[in-house]
Amino acid sequence: MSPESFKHQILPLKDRMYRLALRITGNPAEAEDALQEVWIKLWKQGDQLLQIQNLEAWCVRVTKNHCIDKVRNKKPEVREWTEAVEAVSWDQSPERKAEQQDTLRLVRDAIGRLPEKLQLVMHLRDIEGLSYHEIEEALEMPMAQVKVNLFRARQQVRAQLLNTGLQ
Amino acid sequence: MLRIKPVLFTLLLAGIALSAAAQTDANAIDKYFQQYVNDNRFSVVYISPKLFQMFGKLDVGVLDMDNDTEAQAVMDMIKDLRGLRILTTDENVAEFYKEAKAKINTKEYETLMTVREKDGNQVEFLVREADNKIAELLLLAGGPGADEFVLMSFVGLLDLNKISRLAKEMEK
Amino acid sequence: MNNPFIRELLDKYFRGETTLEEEKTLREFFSRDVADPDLKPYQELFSFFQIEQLQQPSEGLEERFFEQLSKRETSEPKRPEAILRTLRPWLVRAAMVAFLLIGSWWIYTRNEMNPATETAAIDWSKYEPETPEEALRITKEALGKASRHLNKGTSMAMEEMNLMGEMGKVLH
Repeated sequence: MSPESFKHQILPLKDRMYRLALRITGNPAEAEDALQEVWIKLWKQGDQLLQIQNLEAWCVRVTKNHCIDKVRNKKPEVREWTEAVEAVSWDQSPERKAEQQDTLRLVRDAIGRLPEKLQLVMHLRDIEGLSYHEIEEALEMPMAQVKVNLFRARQQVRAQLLNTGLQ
Repeated sequence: MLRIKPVLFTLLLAGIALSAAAQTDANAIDKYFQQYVNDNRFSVVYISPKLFQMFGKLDVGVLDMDNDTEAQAVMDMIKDLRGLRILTTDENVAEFYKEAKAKINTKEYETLMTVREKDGNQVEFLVREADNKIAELLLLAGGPGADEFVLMSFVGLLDLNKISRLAKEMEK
Repeated sequence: MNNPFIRELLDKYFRGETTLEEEKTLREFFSRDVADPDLKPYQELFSFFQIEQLQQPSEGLEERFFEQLSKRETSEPKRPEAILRTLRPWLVRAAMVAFLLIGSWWIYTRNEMNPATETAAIDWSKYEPETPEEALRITKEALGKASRHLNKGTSMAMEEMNLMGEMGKVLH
């Protein structure tokens, strides 16, 4: 595989792979490290990569597996979310912005408290906008399971949001 | 070379059969995949019978499972196991898979099931029986499109129903 | 109650029945100011999704990757590696022959040999996990993997059988 085809086929997926890595590792620096490691892994596959049918789902899957391994091996007691969101421009008044940061943290915590499977399904659907079929491929999870997990994830997040009393 | 190969091969098989008979926890990896073990492109894990014996004393909380039935299902299976060997690599995945498939003696190991996925990922289950019971389960995963080559050998009396139930427990 | 359409979509969303298009509609609706206080929590949820979609790795990640790649390639000289790779099938064959010869010699001499001088081919002990907890976790993962693939295979086989049944109905 040439650096050119790598640039055209793999690198355009970097944002999606990064966000998944960030969801799992919970830390931007670690997510970037993971992404680099995944790319090296993919690079080593050489031309075999070009034979893969659904390259995107496959890349998501490799990223997921790699990050989960990474997190498990580290076995952190507390997963800490750094405030990466602050870097995103958000067109609002400073007070509204501060308030927004607070509520966003609540939403993030609510999602962060979901079991891993539910978190991943919700991330891929609600943030990445993948179809059920794509999620099925990426997570190696039967479609019925994808739907059930998504349903549970949304229900649990809703319950948490209504409980914490976001007004 | 080509001509003498069959003869040599028969000899090899005979040798293996004899040496295998002498070993109590015979396993496919020792038999066919010695060079993989020492190849530093492979990650290797071995869980010895001694370790398996120690599991009974551990707290199931270590497993970090969603619920106790799940953990119980795992512990249930573990008590029948006497050895686990895992070889994995993310290099040359398709080639290693092909090579490994070719190496396994089909007289001794019976293919239980081959799962071929759309993206080219393949998983093959092979079993070796002794006294009509499964004495070893071999899982071989790879193929073009797979991101990892995996060879796992579970040695011990295995109940496939129990193994299959485990995934159901985990998916609940 | 305002926005009946959005409320209906929200219900559908929480039942897990919305299409991707409808989910986009929800995100767009909630990106504007929402007056209804009871819809506020949902606004936070959907804005969160939208903000998360904007997350990106820091600039220059690709450049760093290619830099790392070229460093790897210069630090590991490629040439000998390439030669080794083309030689490998021969090496394997040669190793097999050597193994065979040693193996058959071993079988011949086995009877006269003192059992104590027999050495195991692979020193597995160095591949053991350091703690029984770690070993248990690995075993669980391995069993889980085997279980998932096993079930995938069986469910695929069931589908085939159903399909064949259907076809049979058509034919009769």
